[in-house]
Amino acid sequence: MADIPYGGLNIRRLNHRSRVSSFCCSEDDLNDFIKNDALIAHSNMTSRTYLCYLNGIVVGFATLAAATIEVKSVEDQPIEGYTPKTYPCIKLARFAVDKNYEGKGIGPYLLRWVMGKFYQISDEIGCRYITVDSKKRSMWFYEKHDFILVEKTRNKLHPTFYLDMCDEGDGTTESSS
Amino acid sequence: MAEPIDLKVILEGDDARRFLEEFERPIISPRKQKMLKEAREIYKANPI
Repeated sequence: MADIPYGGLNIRRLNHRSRVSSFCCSEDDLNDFIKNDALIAHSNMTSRTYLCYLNGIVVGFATLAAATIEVKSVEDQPIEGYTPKTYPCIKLARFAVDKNYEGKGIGPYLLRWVMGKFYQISDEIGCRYITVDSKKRSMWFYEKHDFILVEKTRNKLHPTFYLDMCDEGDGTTESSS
Repeated sequence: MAEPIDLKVILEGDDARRFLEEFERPIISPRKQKMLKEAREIYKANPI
């Protein structure tokens, strides 16, 4: 199945004029979210939803929210005196492609757009990771995009992944000024 | 109504160990580097 050229897709932020009633993916809770909850969350500033359009039709969406990764302990038992540390991240709170447009490259495009959006955000405030709680059937998609599975969540209903967005590699990090 | 969004990831044990090691020394494959470069380009073409 041929991918849709990226030039044919565009992203817009959800607003009260957005038409999402015809969107339909394979997960009922995601359909419910985009039709009934996304605008409310958008209005009360707890998340932001971005719609992916093809020829004026919503074919995918991504919902982002601020979040944290907390490192409780490197041992299985809590260590007395150890203070858990937290790291800032962006949560990919919801992510879906319309089932009529699956397998055409929209998911990879939209996820890359989210990553690009991440860099815009992290240029302004400290942020290092993208996290997601994946549907079981979507785990392959995040693994394919180099997300790391939190092993302890592997057998949960929604296993958790994170992606380190640091793009300064070679085993060293750029020192901050 | 959809389930509320859980905004905290908690890492312990081996997950925490791996995370902390890679936090200090990120390893980026050429494939990942290419993906992140594409991400910047895609966003630049459609910024919001």
